[in-house]
Amino acid sequence: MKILIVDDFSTMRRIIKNLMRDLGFTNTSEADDGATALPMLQGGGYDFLITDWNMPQMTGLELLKAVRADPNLSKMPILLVTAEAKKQQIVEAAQAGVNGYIVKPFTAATLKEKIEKIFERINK
Amino acid sequence: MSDPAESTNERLKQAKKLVELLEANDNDGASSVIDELTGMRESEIYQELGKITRELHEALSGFNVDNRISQLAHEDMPSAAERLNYVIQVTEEAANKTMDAIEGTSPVASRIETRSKDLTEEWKLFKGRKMSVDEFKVLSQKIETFLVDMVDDSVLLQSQLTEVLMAQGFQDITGQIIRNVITLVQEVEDSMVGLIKTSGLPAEAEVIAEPVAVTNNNEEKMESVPLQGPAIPGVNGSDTVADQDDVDDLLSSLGF
Repeated sequence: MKILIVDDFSTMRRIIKNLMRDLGFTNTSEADDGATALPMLQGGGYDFLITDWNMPQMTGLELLKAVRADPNLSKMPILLVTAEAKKQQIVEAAQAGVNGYIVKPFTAATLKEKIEKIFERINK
Repeated sequence: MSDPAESTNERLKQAKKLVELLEANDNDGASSVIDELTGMRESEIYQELGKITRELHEALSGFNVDNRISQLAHEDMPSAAERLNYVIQVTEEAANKTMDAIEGTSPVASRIETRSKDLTEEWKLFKGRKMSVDEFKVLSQKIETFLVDMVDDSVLLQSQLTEVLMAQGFQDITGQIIRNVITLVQEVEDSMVGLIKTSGLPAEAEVIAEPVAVTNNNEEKMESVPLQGPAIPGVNGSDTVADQDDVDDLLSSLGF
C-alpha cells in the first residue's frame, strides 16, 4: 500500500506521515502542491491519496477532480484533510467524489477512523 | 485662451480699442467690443466649470476606494485582530499540550531507568552466582512485574508522543491564518496608496513596491467558494462547521 501525502505545510505532512506509520502504513511519499502531486500519481504505483485543500498552485479540490477525470486513477481513494470548514465546500468535495473529509485541527483517532472506514468500503 | 499671458494681451488690446471707440463717440463699435470681452469671460468660466466637474467626478470615483477602506476599518481589521488573537490561543494550546506530554512522560522514563538499573545490579549478582535460591525467586518475580509494567509504560509513552506530534498541527493552522492577515495588510497598504493618490498628495507610490501575492489567486480556481482558511471561533458564521462531528453529520445527511 503506497500512499501520497499532499500538503503545502511540511509540518502537516510530517504529522500525517508519522500517524500513518503508527497505523502500519510505512510506504508514504510527499508532495507540497496539487501541481507536483498529479504527475507523481500519473507516474503510477500509488494506492491512496491524502491531500490538503488550500494550496498555492493547484488546490486539493482541483487535484481531486483531476484524479477522478483520469481513467487510470479515477478509482483511487482520496481523503481530504483541510482547514476549509464551510458547509458548501464539504458538499462540493463530496459531489466531486471525495472518500473522506477531515477538518483541521483533527485527532489521531479521527484519522484512524476515517482511513479504516474508507478501506472497509473499498473491500466490500 | 488657456495661456494667461495671451489672454491678458487680448484683453488689453480690446480695452484700448474700447477707449478709442468711446473717445470717437462710436457707441455701436464700443458695444460690440464689450460683447466680445463678455464672451471671452464666459468661455473662461465654462472652462473653469469643466475643470471643477472633472475634479468632482474624480473625487466621486475616489469614494470607491473610501468604501473599501471603510470596510477594511470596520470589518476586516477587527476580524484580523480576532484572527491574530486566535493564533496566540492556538500556539499557547500547542505549547501547553507539548509540555503536558513531557511532564507526563518524564516520570515514566525515570521510573524505567531506576528499575532497570536496579534489576541490572541484581542480575549481575545472579550471574556471578552470588544469589541464594530464595533471593532468585524474588528477583524472578521482580523481572516479571517489570516486563508487564514495561508494556503499559511503552503504550503510555507512545500515546504521549502522539500527543506531541498532533500538537504540532498548530503550525499549519496558524500559518494559514497569518497568510490571510498578510494579504489583508497588503490590501490596506494598497488602499492607503490609492487614497493618497486620489487626494492629490505626493504619493511616492513608485517607491512602494508592488506587494507580492502570498495567497492563492482564487479567481482562477475551479472552486465555487473562495477558500476561507481555518475556521476562527467567533468570526465564522453558521455556514461553517464547528468540528469533525459536524462534518460527519453533514456528509451522512448527504447519504455519504
